[in-house]
Amino acid sequence: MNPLLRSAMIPMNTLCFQRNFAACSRALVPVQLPSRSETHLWYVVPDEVKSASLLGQYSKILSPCEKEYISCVRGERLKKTALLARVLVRTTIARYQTNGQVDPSSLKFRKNIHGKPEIGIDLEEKDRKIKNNIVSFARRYFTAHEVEMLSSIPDPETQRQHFIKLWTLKEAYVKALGKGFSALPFSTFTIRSRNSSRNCQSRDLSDSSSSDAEIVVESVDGSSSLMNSWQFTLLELAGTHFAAICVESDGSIGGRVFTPRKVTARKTIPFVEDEFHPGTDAVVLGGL
Amino acid sequence: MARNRFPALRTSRFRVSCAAKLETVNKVCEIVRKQLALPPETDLTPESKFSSLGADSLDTVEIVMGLEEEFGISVEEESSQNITTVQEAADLIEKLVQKKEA
Repeated sequence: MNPLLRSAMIPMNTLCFQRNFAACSRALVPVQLPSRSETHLWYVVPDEVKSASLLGQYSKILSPCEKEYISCVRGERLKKTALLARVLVRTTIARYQTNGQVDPSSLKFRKNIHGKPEIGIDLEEKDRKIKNNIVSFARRYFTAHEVEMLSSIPDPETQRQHFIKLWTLKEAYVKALGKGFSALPFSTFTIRSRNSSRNCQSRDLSDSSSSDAEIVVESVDGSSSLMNSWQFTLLELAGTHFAAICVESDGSIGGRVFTPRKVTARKTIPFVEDEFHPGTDAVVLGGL
Repeated sequence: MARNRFPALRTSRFRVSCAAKLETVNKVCEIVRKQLALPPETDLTPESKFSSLGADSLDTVEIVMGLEEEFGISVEEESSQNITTVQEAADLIEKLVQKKEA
């Protein structure tokens, strides 16, 4: 066959393949943007994505830069999670475009050092083991109030889980500020529970089902302006993870009535299926 | 005459003992392997990036805490963003240990 003709056929085959792929699996289901008081949380469970051909298709929607990053990641499991994370970002954003279907591979991301995201999220496995002694770690990196709270928990397992929750909340906060651990040391702010009657005493930690509890942040140097500016949601996700979300609050300072933020979680395997099980996949934890 | 042919030898960096750096690098690798529970066959070099090995921010902080205890130093949180590879950790440790012993 004429080599020129052969090379011209290659793009045609790719296009046909893409059409076949779109025909035999679901297209991305478009979604309405959440309201100001709502947060949508999308997640993928890597162990549920097994098809090598699907993963191959996913690679195709990444940018050259993203593919380059993944090639530097060591190990198949980590490469897979790096791939899925980036595919999740692209496909999720593509769903919310209101002016027609958007091709997720066409999205371009720019890093902006001045921009503040105004929302931060962190996830940790509930069963994650801490190598260092928890109270020693807290003494080194957290605040005195938090050390006191952790030290007061007699059961090591409950203490470990409380530590993980606290870590995810603190991470979510510094991410929402666009800063990160090194720019905003965790010893400069305390995260704790406060119930709606404004009782500032430590809460009974076994009573985490109380929906009156609110998670708040306060500056160690005593400036109280932080507290009403940020809203936290702590969730248990898929029975395996704790997730913390921190959002800039639009409430007024002082005299604010606490209304819990609505968080809806959706599990997805992009282009294959979306699941939405309110109240089971994602359980909002009332307090810390 | 050798010093003229190899100008780099005139700089003070080459006066630092290479053996000490290797020992530090090895200790850092040991702590990283333990924290990240790396399988023995995982290749770990001074250039290895923690993030490429699957370390998240909590892992990195735990590694830094392990290094503080091992070497008797204190790493400011601000410096932790500069510890992204085994070599960077080893370099910072050497710097802090020298400062401590000064």
